[in-house]
Order: sequence, then C-alpha cells, then structure tokens
Amino acid sequence: MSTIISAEHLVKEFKTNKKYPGLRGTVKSLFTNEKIIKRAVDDVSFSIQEGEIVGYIGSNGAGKSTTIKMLTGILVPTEGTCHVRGIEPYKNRMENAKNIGVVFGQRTQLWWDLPVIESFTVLKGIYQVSDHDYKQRMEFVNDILGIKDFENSAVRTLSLGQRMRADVASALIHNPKVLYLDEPTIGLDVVVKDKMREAIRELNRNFHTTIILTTHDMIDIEELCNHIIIIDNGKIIFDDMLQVLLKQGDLTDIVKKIFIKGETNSDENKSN
Amino acid sequence: MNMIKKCKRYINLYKIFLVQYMKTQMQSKVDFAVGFFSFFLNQMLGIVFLYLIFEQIPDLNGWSFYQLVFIYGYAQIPRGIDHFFTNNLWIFTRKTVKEGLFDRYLLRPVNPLFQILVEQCCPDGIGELLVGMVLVIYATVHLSMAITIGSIIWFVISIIFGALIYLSLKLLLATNAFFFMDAYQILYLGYNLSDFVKYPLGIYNKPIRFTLSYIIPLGFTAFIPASFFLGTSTLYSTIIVEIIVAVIFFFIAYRYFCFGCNKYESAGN
Amino acid sequence: MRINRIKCYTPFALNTIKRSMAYKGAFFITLVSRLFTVFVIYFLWKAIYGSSVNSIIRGFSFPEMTAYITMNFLTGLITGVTGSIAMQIAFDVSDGSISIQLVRPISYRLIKFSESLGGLCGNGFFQIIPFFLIFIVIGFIKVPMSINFILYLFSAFLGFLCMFCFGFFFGLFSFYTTYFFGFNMAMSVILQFFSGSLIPLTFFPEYLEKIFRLFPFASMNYTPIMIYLGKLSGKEIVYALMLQIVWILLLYLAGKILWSSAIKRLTILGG
Repeated sequence: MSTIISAEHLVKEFKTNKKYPGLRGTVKSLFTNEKIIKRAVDDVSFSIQEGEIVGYIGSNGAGKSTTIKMLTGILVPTEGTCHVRGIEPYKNRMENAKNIGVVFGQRTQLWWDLPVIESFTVLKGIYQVSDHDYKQRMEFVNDILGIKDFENSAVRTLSLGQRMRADVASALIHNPKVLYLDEPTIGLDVVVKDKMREAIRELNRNFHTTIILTTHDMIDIEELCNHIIIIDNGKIIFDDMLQVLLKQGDLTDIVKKIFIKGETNSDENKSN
Repeated sequence: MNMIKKCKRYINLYKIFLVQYMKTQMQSKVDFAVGFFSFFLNQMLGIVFLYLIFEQIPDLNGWSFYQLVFIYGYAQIPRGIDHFFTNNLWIFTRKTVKEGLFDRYLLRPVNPLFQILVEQCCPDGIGELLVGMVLVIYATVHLSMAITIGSIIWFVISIIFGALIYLSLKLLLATNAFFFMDAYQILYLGYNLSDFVKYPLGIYNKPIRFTLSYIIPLGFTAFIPASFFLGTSTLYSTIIVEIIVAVIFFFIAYRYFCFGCNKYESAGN
Repeated sequence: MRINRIKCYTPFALNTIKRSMAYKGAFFITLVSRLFTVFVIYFLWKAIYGSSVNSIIRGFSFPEMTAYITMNFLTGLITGVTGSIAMQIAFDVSDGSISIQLVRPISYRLIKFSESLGGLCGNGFFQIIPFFLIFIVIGFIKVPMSINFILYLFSAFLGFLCMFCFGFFFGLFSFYTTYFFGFNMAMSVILQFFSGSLIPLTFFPEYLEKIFRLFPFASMNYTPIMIYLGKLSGKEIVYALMLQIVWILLLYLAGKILWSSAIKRLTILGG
C-alpha cells in the first residue's frame, strides 16, 4: 500500500478585521483597520495510504474544513506542503481535480435548476467519462443509492436525503481515486444513512477508493473508518488506527472529552 | 494539437451546458415577451427624445437624426450579445464569492471562468440585440447607405469584438469581488458608462472622450465603429483599432481574474 | 395607545437608514454612478443648444435646462425612494412572506410607508444634500433664495406621497399576475415619459402637454421642478399643488380598495 496523501507541516493563517461591539464600535470600525490573525491549521502532518477510509474528526472550528480545502486545492497553505498522488493540489489544481470527488454536506455541487440526470450528463462531459464507464457508474449508483426514483426532478425540489444521495452520486461519476466527504450523513434519516454507508463501503471494497470522511457521527466512524485523525485547535492530537483509539475506551466518551477540552481552550483564547 | 483538442473539448462542453440552460431559462415565453416589450419601450424613450429634439434643431453637432438612430441602435448590439453570454458575472459580484460558492468551480478540472460564464444565458440579451438591429436597419434604409459584403463582414467582426470589450470590462470589475466580497456597485458604475457611448463622442469634453476611448474603451463598442459605417471615419482608425483594443483589454482583464483566483480564500467554516 | 403603535413602525424606518449607512464604499460608488446620467444629458443638451439657432428652446434657455435636469435628478432622489415599493411588494408576494405580514396586527401599508420615510431620511443626508451642494458648486443650479424653494420642498414632499400611493397601488397588481416584473419595467418607462423625466413636457405638442400635466406622473416630478424653476405663476402653483393633493387622495383610496380585494384573493387562493 502506497501513500496517496501526505501533509507536511501544513499551516494556514487567516486575517480578519477586528470588530468592536456596540454603536461606538461600529463607528470605530469605520476608521480603523486592525486585523486579527487566526491559525486555523497549525503545523499539521499526516500520511494516508491508498485504500484507507479515514475519519477526520474535530469540533467545529478545529481546522477540518481548512485542511480539506488545502488538500483539494481551494486554499493555498501559508506554510508547509501537501501532496495528493504526487501532485501539490493548489499548484496543479486541474490535474488534481480530475481524480478527486468532493461532497460538502451543507452545499450542493449540482446545478439548482437542472434535473438530477441532466446534472450528471454535464458532469460526464466535464470529467470526460466514457459512455461505457458512465453506464457502469449509473448502475452502481442506482443499485445502492436509488437515484432512479428522482433522477428527473430538479435539484431544488429534492428533500435533503435525496439531495445528499445525488451529491454523493455526482462525486462518483468519474471514479475518483480520492473522495472527500464533508459531513455526508448530517441531517439524514436512518434508512438513508445506511444507504450512504453501504455506498462508501462498496466503493472502497470494489474500487479501492481512498475516502476521507469528516463527520460528527460516531456510528459512521465505527462502521466505516480504519484510520482516525483527530484535529483540535489546528493541531493533530491523534493519528492512528481505529483499534488503537478504541483501546482508550468508549469512542463517544473519548471524543466528547476532546471536544470539551477544545471548547475550553478556545474560550480562553477568546477572552484574551 | 493539444490546443485544438482543448478548444474542441470546451466547445463541446459549452454545447452541453447551453442546451441544458436554454431549457430552463426559456420556460416562460410570456415572461420573455413581456420583458422584451418593456425593454423595447425603454429603448424607444431614447429615440422619442431624439425625435422631439430634432423638431427644434436641424442637426446635432453636424449629425442627422437617422445617423444618431444608427449609432444608438448599433450601441445595443454588442451589449446584447455580451448580456446573453456573460450575465452570470453579475451574480458573481454579489453572491458567488461571498457565499463560498466559488469552491465548486475550483474543484472541477475545467477553467473556472469558463464555468462561470457558461452557467447562465440570459434571453434578455436577445431582446437588446433585436432592438438594436431594428434601429440599425431602419436608419440604414433612411440614410440610403450602400450595403456591401465587405461592410457586412466588418459589421459582424465589429460587434463581436465590441462584445469582447464588454465582457472584459465586466470581468475586470467583477474580479474585485475576490477582494471586496461585493463588487456589484463598481460593476454597475462601469457598466452604466455605456450610456455615454450611445451618442457621438464629440459632444463630450476631452477628458471624457479620452476615458471612453482608451481607459474604459466602451467608445469602441458603439460610436467609433458606427462612425465607420456612417462613412465619417476610416476602417483603420475605427474597427482595426477596436480589435487591438479589445484583445489587449481582454488580456488585462483575464490576467486580473487569474490573480484574483490565486488570492482567493474561501469562506471557511 | 396611539404612541405605542407608532413605536411599532419606527424600527422599520430606522432599519432602512441603518442599511444605507452600512455600506460606506457602496455609497460613494452609487453617488458617482448616478452623477453620470446627469452628465450625459448635460452634454447632450449642450450640443443641442449649440446646434440651435435660438437660445431659448420651448421656453427654456440653456442655463434653465441645466437647472431642469439637475432638479429632475434631485427630485427623483426624493420621490424615487418609493420607486421600489412596487418591486418590494412583488418580492414579498413571490416568496410568500406576505402571508406572515398579514398575520401580524400591524398595517402592511404603514410598514412600507415607514420604510420609505426612513429611506427618504437616509437619502436626504447621504445623497440629496451632498448632491445639492455639489451641483451648486459646479454651477448647474444657483443658490436658492426665493420662496420658490420652500414651495419646492413642500411640493416635492407631496410628490413623494403621490409616488408612494401610486407605487403601493401598482404593487398590489403583483397579487394578480406572475408577470409583474416585466410590467414593472414597462411602468417605469411610462413614468419616465409622462413625468417630464425624459424631457420637459413643453417639448410635446401643446395639447399633449396639457393632458400630460393632468396625469399623476406629472404631479410626482414635473410640478415640483417647475415650481423651483419659477416657471409657474402664483395661480398656477396653487392649482398644481391642489392637483397633487387630489392625486394623493385618489391613489390612496384606490390602494385601499385594491388592498381589500387583493387580500381576499390571497386568502382564498392560499398565498
């Protein structure tokens, strides 16, 4: 098994304008330009092997999305590097894009007004998927995610569960080597969640797809992931196999402890 | 060879997009008809103004009524073409970057600008184009202008490069959304400069004429090429310069856009 | 009780003012882009007068015409706040938020009016007064000295009310048709044409001019401008002001009647 993703001392800093409270504050902010620097990702290093399903865990604001964005080429690191299949994503964005699939739980990647199947047609063209491969993919996707039931509806008319399934399906059309799933089961009912998990498992089993999963759902982690990375306040605090983490006790308890610690840390930072 | 392959691919992609989007945009024919009618009325205001004025004066700075109608109509055509293809840039100034929707474009192996432009086509642009053509034809008939194959070819060339200037202007100003989150106002400002070029540039003072010719070259989308067809200027001082200006302006705008992409920081959590 | 109810509406007015303050950059740009339209027209008229044998065209000298287009612009800022009323109503109808407004025990019309008043105040400070001063400085208009100016302000406020009542009335048609946005575009064209915004009404043939002056559109815009320019005699001013008031009342009533009918339609069809 070879390393497919590696992060080396990644750092990402954001500058935001300092804001002051109240009416006086609003007037003050008209005239000042003070900035606060936030280190969203602070010296993060890890390596992911091909075919792994990685659970990337962290409380909100811990730096998960920022890391993913650097791995997918949307953000340029302030310091450090990362490589996906030997390419630096932000330097060779389009080359990298050909082989990745991304699903953001909160926002759809599909076109709002188009029927689902038409969105797929467009994506087929974008990723230059052959007719044969496309047919195969559609079969796979219909088998497990049941897209056929609503494939002619416009994306904006879909329920959350349907939309999430369509989004995941659309990320698979070109058989990406790496799949990033950002909160794919959030807000879904039990039946749909099961379908999603099955799809992820099958994908990994049949196509050896490397999957990076960010999630708050502990069952997702227990059922799917073999490699766990935990990030807290921008730093990696755990990077090992799932079994190692479970030796420390019940998964939910461990994660809760980490999150609470994380919150108190960030509260301290706020009052500073 | 690679370039040709790339071009072919993008053209194919564009075809797919266009078909899909025309389907959704043209859904309400009544909407389109009402919108077109209103737009037509709006343009007529300008013509009515000119008509009433010419009741009082013999000519305007040496230009006759029909010559002014020609320029006025001609001005609409590149504007309409650009409006049809690049309407999504308006949304880009307000929504796309601010709401973090730009990420999508970066995640796909296709040029982001292409994706933005291709996502929307605006049938209103066809309305502008038609109104402009009607006015141009009307004026041409009344001016008894000779129509040759050559002049038609130059006409088509000049409106295409005129549309390119509009596209470049919109792109240049809309790119500021990367830096200021909201670039709507500044695009609105720049775009409305097009009001100036519906009339002979000679009526304005030197600074304005210069700005409209060489800084924000909208003059080359309307009055300047139109003056060639009206026979008051040479081909070289009008359309040839227009082509050069359009290409340079697009180059500048595109480089700026690429610069903006690089500087882009998405909305984060 | 009365005072309490007024208190309900002030947040709407304040909110509009706050919003206009929030975007400092956008402000400046809006100011400048609005200036453009005035300049284009100014140069056009300069060329027109330059090409004319007479120095007075249809009763206007070039300085007077310059003042006309300036005052047209400024008056437009005053009355134009209400110009978006119709669109706002249409948006509320199309996204369904109109239903929520009806459930609350406050008058939708008064909410819109408060928002307009707030917009007027906001516009007043940040656009109207600065522009007024700029135009005096560049010499498009002279410093106002006579009583005409007071009358102008009064008439412009009447114009504001007139526009509001019309905008509200017209906006109610969005309850009845899905093609409202297209019609709204057409209406703004009609407004421009009949209110003297495109060109002073004196440029039309005399009989048309007389008819146009009777329309409500002239009362929104043309009347205040002509008062400012001193183009109306004492009797004519009184007559014009009364006409403005008449239109305000007529449009107010029309709005009231249409409102009850529109609400009925809404509750029957289910929003």
